[in-house]
Amino acid sequence: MKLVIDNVTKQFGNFSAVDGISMEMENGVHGLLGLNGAGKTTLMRMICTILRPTDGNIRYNGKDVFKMDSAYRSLIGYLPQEFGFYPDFTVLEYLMYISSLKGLKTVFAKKKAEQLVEMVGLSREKTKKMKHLSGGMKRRTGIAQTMLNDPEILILDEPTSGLDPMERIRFRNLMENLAEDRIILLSTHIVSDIERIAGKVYIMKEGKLEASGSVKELCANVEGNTLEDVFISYFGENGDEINAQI
Amino acid sequence: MLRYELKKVFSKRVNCIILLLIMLMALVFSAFAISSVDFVGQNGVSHKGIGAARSLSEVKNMYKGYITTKVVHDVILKDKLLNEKYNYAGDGTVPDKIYAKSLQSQNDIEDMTNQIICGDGEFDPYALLKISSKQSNSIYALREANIQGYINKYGKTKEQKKFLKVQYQKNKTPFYYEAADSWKTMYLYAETYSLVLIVLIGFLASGIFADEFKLQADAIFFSTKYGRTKAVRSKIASGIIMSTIVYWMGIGLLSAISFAVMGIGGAGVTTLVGETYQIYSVSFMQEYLIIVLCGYIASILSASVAMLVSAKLHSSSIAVCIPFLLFCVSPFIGRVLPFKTCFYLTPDQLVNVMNCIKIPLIYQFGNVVFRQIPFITILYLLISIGLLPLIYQSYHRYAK
Repeated sequence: MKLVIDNVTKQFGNFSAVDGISMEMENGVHGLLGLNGAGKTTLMRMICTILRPTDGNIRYNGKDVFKMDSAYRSLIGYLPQEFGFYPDFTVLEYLMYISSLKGLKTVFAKKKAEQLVEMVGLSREKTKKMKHLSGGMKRRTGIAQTMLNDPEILILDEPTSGLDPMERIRFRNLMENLAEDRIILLSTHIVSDIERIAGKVYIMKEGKLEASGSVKELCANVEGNTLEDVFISYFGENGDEINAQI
Repeated sequence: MLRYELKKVFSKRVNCIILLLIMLMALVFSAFAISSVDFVGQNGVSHKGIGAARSLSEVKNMYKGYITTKVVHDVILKDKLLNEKYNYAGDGTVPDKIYAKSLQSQNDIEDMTNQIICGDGEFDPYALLKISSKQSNSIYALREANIQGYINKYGKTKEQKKFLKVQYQKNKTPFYYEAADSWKTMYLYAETYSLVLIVLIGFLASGIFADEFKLQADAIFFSTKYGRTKAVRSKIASGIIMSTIVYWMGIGLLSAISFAVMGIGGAGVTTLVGETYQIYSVSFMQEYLIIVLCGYIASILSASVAMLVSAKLHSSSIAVCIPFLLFCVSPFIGRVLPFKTCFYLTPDQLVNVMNCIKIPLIYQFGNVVFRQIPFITILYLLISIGLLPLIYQSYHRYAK
């Protein structure tokens, strides 16, 4: 399994949201770090084929993902930063609906949805309408929907926002387990979310890839020995703001 | 997938309120229809509401059967005698008791006779008082003569003249009569209620595509396997199914209540008794079915246009206005258009069948001649169907 992002650019008018980014991803957790507006979401939307690159291409196992079309989308699970849902659906109805969009058979989907609500700790809330869920519960439902089709590529945009510390730990453990046989790309500006679990970290700034490598490799280039130090070294002027988020 | 799309539509709070409103309006319109029939009892007291329509039909059905020239002659004779006594064509009035006893039952036959006499000229409600006994005995011959005038006036080409002649030849005289007041009353209410349904269906349909963006659920939707194919088709299907359910549920409720109270007498009788020069040879029930069918096509058109606009613009705010513009504003635009023909082809004509059916409007393409109602019905049905692939394309090609 290999996902290749080859010199990808996305322009909106004269503004380059993503500017010539190249990445290669294989099984494991890949962290995408950057401030708000760095281009992380745009890049992820392109990987999910929601946006088409202005230039460059994205390939999965050597094939252009836009040419693969629905065959590629059947392999991905995506949690966007702004997780939209249908307020009058219950958690189970929502998961069943997304299952149908993902082409799962009803019997299998029911079983899978039950498993996933248990996995994300929403068993008691599964028949609650989504409009009555807390922010964290909604986020967990969002995480559950990404897993319905057992995806080979998991794209998670700020997955831990809104989760309490215990949920974040549980999420991290879950990602560690899932990463064994799939590609996980996880964007965040909360450094601690990926420090322990990411095999490779990409740092984006103003649409460009500033650095990439394992946590160890990145730390070797800066003073200090944590990913937090790396982050601050790249976004110096905003260091205090970032620290506050950490 | 389709089940969930329909659930999305029917579980939205605002949509539930609209559905409730639709049901409520069906009840209100039924009440208006029932109370609009006026029956004058033998004691001269006017009655409206439950029972009035059935009582009126009962009285009128004393003329049930073929309206032969003898029947027409007798009706005219009775009218002339009453007019001599009460001068109701002038300043006088007929006492309610006399009206109830003598005139009420023969109203429809009087109207038919007056129409035959007046032809394409201005309608005179007392025209029958001015004709001789000899003329009254040849009333259908007078109709035949006037039909020739219609053919010459509305048939601009040889093909059109031939077409009109064929249509008029389908009508056999003497006409068979049975009171059909419930049907005649319901035409207006069914059309008005259809218009309400069309606008509200447009509102319901506009959210089907736009809500994905409004709720920010579009990213997950489009990143799934079927998000740009089967799911889009399901959305389109849900729009059509929703329109069908809502329209027939509303019209069904209105019709069921109204006809249950007023009765369905005269269903199979030709409408030529009411509109003697129309080129549509249909029964009262068939005309009602044409009215509601045209309303249904208008609903599908409304839903299709609303879905297309919302799929294109990713917003429902403009989409909700389009059905209103198409069906409520277009008549006014039609009137200022340079060609009168265009006025009769605007989509609002689908909810104006009751009036369209009275006018012998025909159109010609090559040697083929069409009547207005079948033409607009097919035209807007094809447009509605033709819009569906465009909706699919608009949503399917989401990735820019």
